[in-house]
Amino acid sequence: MSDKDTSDQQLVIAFKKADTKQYAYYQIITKYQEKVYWVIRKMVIDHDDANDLTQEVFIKVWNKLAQFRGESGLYTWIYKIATNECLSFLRKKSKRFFVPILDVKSELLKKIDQASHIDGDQIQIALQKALLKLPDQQRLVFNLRYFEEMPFKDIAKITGKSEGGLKANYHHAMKKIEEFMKSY
Amino acid sequence: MSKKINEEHWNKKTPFTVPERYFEQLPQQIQARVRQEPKTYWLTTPVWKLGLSALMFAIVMGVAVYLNNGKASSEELLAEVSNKELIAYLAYEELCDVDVLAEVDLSELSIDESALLELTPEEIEQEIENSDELEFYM
Repeated sequence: MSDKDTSDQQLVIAFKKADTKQYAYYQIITKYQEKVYWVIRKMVIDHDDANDLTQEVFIKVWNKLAQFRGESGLYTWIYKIATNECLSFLRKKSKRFFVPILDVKSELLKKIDQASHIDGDQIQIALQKALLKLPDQQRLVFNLRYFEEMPFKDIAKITGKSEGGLKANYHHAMKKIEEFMKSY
Repeated sequence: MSKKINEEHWNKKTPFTVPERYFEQLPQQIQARVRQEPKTYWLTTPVWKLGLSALMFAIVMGVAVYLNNGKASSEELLAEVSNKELIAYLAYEELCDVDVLAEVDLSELSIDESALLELTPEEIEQEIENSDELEFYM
């Protein structure tokens, strides 16, 4: 077991005790807030949306951690909540439009061009626009692998997909992105 | 721009930024929200249990409505019967005054029972003759 796992175990134990619960929770937030935020931000693009969803994730951690049985690592569990929150958010958004996929993606593309807290070079922006061409699940896998450099076995635990399927999925995503970037 | 861009030109950076001191303030904001949010039954109860409770309640209410449906009170039923029919029924049943009076709930009449005990038979007779309410039952 890694030091990280031991440390997470200790945090969970401390959380489950009344006198150390608040402090343990604070430690969990500070440890994982950036990871959670950036996973979500890359999916929803907009800072305000990402902020709301990040807070929702940690509210859920507060409500559910007492029942956490430790079958997966704490960070896998938190990542799972985060990825479910942003995929659910994007699904709900798509239900508000009559032509779901196109309009949500158009909205996200506009946010890359116009929203505040966006500041990058042309290639970075082009890459984000290319990623929006992928289905949300595939985009999520790409983000976890490419930007977070997460091992496929960890992505498999988070998404519930097979490692082999994820590798194939990532390979296809990479091909699509490369094609788009060539024509940029 | 038509230059070939391949993965070598990408980097792991994204164009996204955050407001200044965002991550310094986020933990306090989250903890403040957690302190404010009440822990409600429906947040911590599994969805299937809530659904089952709702279903049971709907079944009980449905049965109650079905059993009570169309049941009017005895007063409402009686009000629908005409006086002619009542008189005919009473004549058919050969009920006498005593039988009718036996069914009367004296508490519905404005007669003071304790006062009745102190009345003479003549006074009781007079009271009955004078009472409009009692006539209703005759």
